[in-house]
Amino acid sequence: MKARTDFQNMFEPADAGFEDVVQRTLWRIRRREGSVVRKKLGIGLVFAVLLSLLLASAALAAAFRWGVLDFVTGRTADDPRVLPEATELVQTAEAIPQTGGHLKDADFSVRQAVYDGKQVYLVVAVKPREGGTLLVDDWTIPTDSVAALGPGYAGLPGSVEEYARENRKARILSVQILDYVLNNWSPTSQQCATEEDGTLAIMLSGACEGSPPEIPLSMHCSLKPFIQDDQGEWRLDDDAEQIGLIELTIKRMDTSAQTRRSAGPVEFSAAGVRVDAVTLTGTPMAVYYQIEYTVTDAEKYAATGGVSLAFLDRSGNTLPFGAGEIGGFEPIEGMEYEEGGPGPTVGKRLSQKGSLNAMEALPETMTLAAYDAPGEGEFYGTSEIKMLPIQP
Amino acid sequence: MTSDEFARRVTGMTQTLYRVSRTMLASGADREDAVAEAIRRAWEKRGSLRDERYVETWVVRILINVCRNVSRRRGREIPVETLPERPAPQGGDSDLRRAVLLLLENLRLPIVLHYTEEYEVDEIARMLRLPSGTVKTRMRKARALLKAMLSEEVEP
Repeated sequence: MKARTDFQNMFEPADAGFEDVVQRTLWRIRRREGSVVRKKLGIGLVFAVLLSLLLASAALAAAFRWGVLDFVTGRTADDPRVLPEATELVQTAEAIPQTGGHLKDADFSVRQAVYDGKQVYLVVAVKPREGGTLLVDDWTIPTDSVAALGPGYAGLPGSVEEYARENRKARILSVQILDYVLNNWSPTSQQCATEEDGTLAIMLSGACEGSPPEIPLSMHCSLKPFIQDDQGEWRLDDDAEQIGLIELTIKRMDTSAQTRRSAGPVEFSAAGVRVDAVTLTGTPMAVYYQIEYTVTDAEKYAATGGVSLAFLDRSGNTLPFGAGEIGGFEPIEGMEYEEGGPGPTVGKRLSQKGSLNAMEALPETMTLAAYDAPGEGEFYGTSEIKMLPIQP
Repeated sequence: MTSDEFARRVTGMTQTLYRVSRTMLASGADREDAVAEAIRRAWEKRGSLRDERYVETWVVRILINVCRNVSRRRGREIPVETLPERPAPQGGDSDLRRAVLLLLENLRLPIVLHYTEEYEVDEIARMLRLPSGTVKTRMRKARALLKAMLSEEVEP
């Protein structure tokens, strides 16, 4: 198995030329600039408050059964917000026809599902059959901080293996839901939380295209034990892997989704693009957006590093991410980049998708800003966009 | 932050800057141009850095996007594995390096930032301006591809 140390040794050290460039650049800066100390915003205070909230909620979280909305909202101040009506979208295990999921050492079952027509959110509960087993997600290794077990363990000392030892967990099993066999839908995000009785709750979420009324799913679930070699190094025992299958069907819940679309195109000439359309779809879970734009000036667009568009509030602050893990930039279908071809040219159509916090009513106007991809602060202007209602 | 302090912090992360630029640019000359531009930009825009504790993360983020700009100015992304200017270090895993450099950038970068530079997922999410869950999923996919290429598991 390739270990982390293999990755750390795979690159050669920086050559003398590179080091020289770094030092010469820094020398020029120091020669030119004086020592100017700038006071920064109190972000440290925000993090301290957040950690306090997490630690204070640890005991409560340990007794908790994690559901979709718990993962989505995170129960901290800065996490995405959903509408109260979102609770009506939650389908529980009793309402989700499902079969399978029984492995020798654990049982997999879908505890909750939410499907609002745009995004699917599933919580899979993996319950160990024996109390002496600790389940971890496929991201975690025994030497990781115990915080890797999820919310409620943040800020606690020690490693996962130490936690296992102290809690008499003789075995540590790695849990994976193999997404390459999920049909109809592909999750793009996974979060985990370990519950008091050792159940590992895994939330999978991802966009669903086409908004079908029902989505049948087949999920292959895997368990692999961690074992230690003579040197005490941990590795996964592939030969002892257990694989199972859960099959289920989830239904689209009637969300009375609202949709608004921009009244017309707007230019961001400094960024070399024209925004052709902005579409907002609001459900109780989130406002899902799609921004379609066209490159109008290839040189200016290239200088942006790949323009990033964001919605601003009245104070000019960027609106935060919503619950939907839809995200990213892509060419509009049919206009793919060619391997080895030139970068974006005039006329290239692109799309940016994402989500915002859920809103009671979609706004009649939105403020859209264009800035450079790094978010370093290079703004290429803002524009007020009138949003017109679209009947479903 | 004074220029001396900035210089000290950047000097301390020279190897990280090299490895990140190495992940994205095959040409040594391009890497040198990119790191110089990134350091200059980081200094010029230091006022927008909200917490000096994260200056290293912030500089890496700027470098990532400067590297992308360098690629775009050239008109195409040069596959980093086609110009092996420098061999893997003695004792280094050349198969692993080759496989990592064959990954698409959106999968390669999180893998290198996490496994080689030991950034946490949340830090990588901030750097790449992606949700944390998306970063984890990309790394999961990258590990699956590396496993297929190397016929060997990659430690989680």
